[in-house]
Amino acid sequence: MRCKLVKLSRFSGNKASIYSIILNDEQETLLDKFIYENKNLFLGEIIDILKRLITIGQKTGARIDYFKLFEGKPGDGVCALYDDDDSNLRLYCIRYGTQLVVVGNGGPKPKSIRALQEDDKLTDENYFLKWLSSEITTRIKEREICYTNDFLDFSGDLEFQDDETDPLI
Amino acid sequence: MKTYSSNLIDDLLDSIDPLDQGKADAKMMLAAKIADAMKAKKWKKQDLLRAVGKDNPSIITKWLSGTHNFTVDTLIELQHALDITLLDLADQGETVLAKYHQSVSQKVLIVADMTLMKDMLDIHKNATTTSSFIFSQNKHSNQPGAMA
Repeated sequence: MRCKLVKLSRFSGNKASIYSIILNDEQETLLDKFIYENKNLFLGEIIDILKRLITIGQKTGARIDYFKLFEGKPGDGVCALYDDDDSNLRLYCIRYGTQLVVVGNGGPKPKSIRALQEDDKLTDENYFLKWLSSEITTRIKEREICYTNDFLDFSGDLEFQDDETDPLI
Repeated sequence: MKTYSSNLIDDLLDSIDPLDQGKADAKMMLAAKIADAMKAKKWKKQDLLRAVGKDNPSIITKWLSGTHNFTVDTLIELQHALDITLLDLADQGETVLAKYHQSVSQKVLIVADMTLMKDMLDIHKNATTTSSFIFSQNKHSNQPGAMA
């Protein structure tokens, strides 16, 4: 499986950049997939999420309190965008400080479950972001990826390949 | 950096009413202001919880998440606890107060005018009565056989 990071122009601003991920040779990002998969049942919640992403990019930055933390391994930045108590959707992200967010996919989180591991779709999306986060961290350590001076962007090789495993299968 | 957008995202974003976006902005910016004030005071969530006299720690997480629709009462409690301004009513208040003063002073003037007018009428009435009396007295005094 291959994937690449792309910057979402409509959300990104001078407070934060919002990225998403394109898998293999697909044309759409994981955020587009999240919208497609859930818009029929939860359009209102999707609009709320999009509004929050705009505010993050253009007004406030990706403040830590806007996210549910510890959705991944310690320190890997995998989190979920905070939602209303009565909302159904969970959108997974990787947060890099207040200036950079990579938005993945997610899905409905049934009220009947407490841990994401109880839902296969959420587990897959979450594990994929954990894998990607670990790849990005490795590249940052090896200086194949670095932050721009304003910390608003990644520069370097933003395409990834995992020949051994496919976390989405 | 090459950027990405899609028709799907563009259409949804274009459908958002700017007023609704403003509401989302306001909720998240209020949360940011509260978080900044806590940081300035070196307060943990428990400190704010104690300061506003609440019991449930999850309410602070909710306030800071940027999803909470604050009531005016809560904002005033937070302003007091954190010593910050979340509701800026100063200009509005001065205008209202000035209008109130203007209105009151106009009413006072009107009342004063009416009182003055009443006084003048009374004086005029009294004066008329007095002059009538004097006139009458004089009239009587000028008559033959009248008392001096």
